[in-house]
Amino acid sequence: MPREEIERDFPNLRTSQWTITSPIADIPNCIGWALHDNKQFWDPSVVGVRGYYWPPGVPRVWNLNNIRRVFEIHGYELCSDAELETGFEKIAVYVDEEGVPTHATFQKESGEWSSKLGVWEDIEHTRVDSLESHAYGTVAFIMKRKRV
Amino acid sequence: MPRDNPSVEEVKAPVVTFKDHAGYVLVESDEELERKFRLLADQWRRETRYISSLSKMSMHSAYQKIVGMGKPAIPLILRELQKSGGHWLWALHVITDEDPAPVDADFDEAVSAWLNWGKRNHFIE
Repeated sequence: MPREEIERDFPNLRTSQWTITSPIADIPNCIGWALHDNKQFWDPSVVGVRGYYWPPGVPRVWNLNNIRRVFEIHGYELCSDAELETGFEKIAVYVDEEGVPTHATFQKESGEWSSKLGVWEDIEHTRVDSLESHAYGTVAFIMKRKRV
Repeated sequence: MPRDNPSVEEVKAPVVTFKDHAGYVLVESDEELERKFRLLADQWRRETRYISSLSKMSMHSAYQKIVGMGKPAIPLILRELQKSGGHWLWALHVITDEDPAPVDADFDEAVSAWLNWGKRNHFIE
């Protein structure tokens, strides 16, 4: 997708550095991407269709509590800010106006954020609020875990 | 002795229908159905490109209209899946009430299972 089109949908990107880092792909989605699983589309698949992954023990409903639980069982805990902390990896989860999760992103060791945009490209962006927009809403929470 | 002026019934192209192994009646490709599918599929891809939730993608009105086409949409969906990928497993599952993918299949494995199912049932080549 052309850069201009992405910037049109995420206008905050226009005022920061960002790059497209891989081509369009059906998998993973942003949750899988944030947890470094590039093979799976993480979704509760409420109708039971096969081909989608959801961690055992997490209720099969796409809501903020359950998305937080997904990250918690992978060692993340809530934290107060998105600043780069040596030795820690951070993720951010966005919600729309109705509080429904829309996106997740993770922070690289460089301090840049890496996002898989739905079934399109993944990008790197310097600020966590670069993706706040009509499409993704606002950042709901930040979590961190020790970098391995 | 052949007649020079056959009746309308005689020159009318036959409608080719046959049943696959699952008992679905396949009708010769319909231009209008394909055109409608193409418009809806393009709209769905365009308007859900940033979405990471399968439920939200599947509930999009264009996707639901494709599901609403029912069995005649099966070969169109399978050809689209074969050619361009996409999250069509939900639609195939709902329309056919089947799921040929192994229980623990990842996405690529499930896509392969559906394409093989489509070939076995003569929906696609």
